[in-house]
Amino acid sequence: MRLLEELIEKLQWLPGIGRKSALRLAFYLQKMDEAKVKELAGTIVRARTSLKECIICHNLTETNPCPICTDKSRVQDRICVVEQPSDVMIIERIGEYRGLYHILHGVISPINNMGPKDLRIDSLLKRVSQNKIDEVIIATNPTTDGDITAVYIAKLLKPLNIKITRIARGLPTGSDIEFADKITIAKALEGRQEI
Amino acid sequence: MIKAIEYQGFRNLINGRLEFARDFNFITGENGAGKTNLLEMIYYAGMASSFRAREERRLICFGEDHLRIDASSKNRQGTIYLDHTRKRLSLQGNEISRVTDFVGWLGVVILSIDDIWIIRGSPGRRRYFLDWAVARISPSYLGNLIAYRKVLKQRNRALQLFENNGNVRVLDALDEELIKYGNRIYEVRKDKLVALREYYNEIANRMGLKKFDFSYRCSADDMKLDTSQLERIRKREIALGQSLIGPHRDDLYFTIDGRAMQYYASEGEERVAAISLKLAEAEMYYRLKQERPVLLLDEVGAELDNFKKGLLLEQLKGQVFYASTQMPGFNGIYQDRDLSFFIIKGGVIEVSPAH
Ligand SMILES: Nc1ncnc2c1ncn2[C@@H]1O[C@H](COP(=O)(O)OP(=O)(O)OP(=O)(O)O)[C@@H](O)[C@H]1O
Ligand SMILES: [Mg+2]
Ligand SMILES: [Zn+2]
Repeated sequence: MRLLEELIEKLQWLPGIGRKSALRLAFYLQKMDEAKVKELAGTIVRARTSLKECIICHNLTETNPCPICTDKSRVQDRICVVEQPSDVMIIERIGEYRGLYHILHGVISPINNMGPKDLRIDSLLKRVSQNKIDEVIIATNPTTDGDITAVYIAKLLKPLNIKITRIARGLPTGSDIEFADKITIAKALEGRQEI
Repeated sequence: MIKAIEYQGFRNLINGRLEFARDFNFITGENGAGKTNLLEMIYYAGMASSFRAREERRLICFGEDHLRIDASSKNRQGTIYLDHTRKRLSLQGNEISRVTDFVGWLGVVILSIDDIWIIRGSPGRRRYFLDWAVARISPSYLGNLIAYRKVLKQRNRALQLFENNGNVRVLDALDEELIKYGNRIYEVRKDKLVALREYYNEIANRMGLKKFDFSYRCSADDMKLDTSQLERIRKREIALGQSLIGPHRDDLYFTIDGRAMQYYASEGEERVAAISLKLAEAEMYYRLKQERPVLLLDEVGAELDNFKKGLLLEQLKGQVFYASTQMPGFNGIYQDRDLSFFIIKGGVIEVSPAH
């Protein structure tokens, strides 16, 4: 039982997994086809070792720069700023947005000791000032921290004299982009406003 | 107006169903019988929160696993179900997912002897009163208040951290958000305070011989936040690690004949002020919604002299619930009114024959 106990404990390293869920997962894994379990473990390891941050947009990618940054058919002078790589996945799934991205990997939150230095903000500033960028769309979540981060970035980019927009507050307040349905995000992107 | 209520598993009240009188409902019983619990249940039915329990689970009867309340007014019907893991609300049988859509389907205002602490207590107590009185009639107010508090928490932390690795631009961003939500709160407060003060003056001055009044003590200039004010005090805010101006630092200043109530009023006068304030809240609700809120009086008026007690009863408009260990003295005002008497013993509520 030592090994089982170890597995249950380690599964709890994952976010959102408490002891109960860990127990359930551990027993489920024992019932699964052994080959499948090996495949799963292998993919987890491979993803972790070969996915790196894109040197331009900081999205997770196997190739550097990432496929989006190197896709010449995309609109090159528009950048959508989001909190997490998962936000990119959601917006991409809708397929309406054709510009580039910039992933912050978090938000400004003094309470959680997160300041601009902990985010990919310096590289955003550099990127925007060194390239011909026409519009920066700030799509951080409509939460307190998301808003503070948006205002911060807007103030930072202001001297560059480019169009800065914020996605409309069509999203239900308090919820993350992740939970909003596709239609609301599409609308939010469409109805963005200049700030 | 609440017509009837059916209940299960609420505090010490034994499951049952009650029908209420249109005008006055008197509730009597010994200490610990369940009078306050009954008022609390009516309040809960309308507001989906309690005026005394922070933790809602405390409302569930000892040893039971859930509570359920069905209340009906003239044309509406609200249901609350609560167990140890979830809460379900519905109106006219339709499940409601957001509490804010449920709150206030039945207007209720509670008056209790603790209200004296609005006058005597800390500024926080007065802000709490003001915010809830306004939130009840202005749905967006609550949202802005919650957002303001979240910004405030971040801002205070940022001010405290500033000396170490502070970033001026982060503070600027926080200022902008504070100003945005702060001013939305100020706009509504400005408007509602005028009405609240007018009704308060009217009601209090009818009950007392002296001149009752209050004013708003604002930490910001002209009830408006702006960057220049915040810039002026930034050094001090950083030194103290606290946000020093905004709706969270304001206060209501109560006076009697022009002097500070906190220092110069008698206890009875403080009670008159507290009661008047709650009745002013009810009046404000009425003018806006064109519907009188249910008034719940818990032992209120017990300390007033008979003359004032009579005056108080005359001021009560709409449907009233009056809970006390003793029946109030009766005078002419009950004539031609629809009355009911309830006697509670150990959580069992009985309707007693009319007096
Ligand atoms: N969750 C609960 N389950 C069962 N009983 C409870 C619960 N919570 C409180 N009680 C009991 O309900 C009883 C009645 O309380 P309540 O405050 O309504 O009395 P009251 O009639 O207002 O008395 P008083 O005149 O002293 O104010 C108390 O004795 C208390 O122990
Ligand atoms: Mg009581
Ligand atoms: Zn990239």
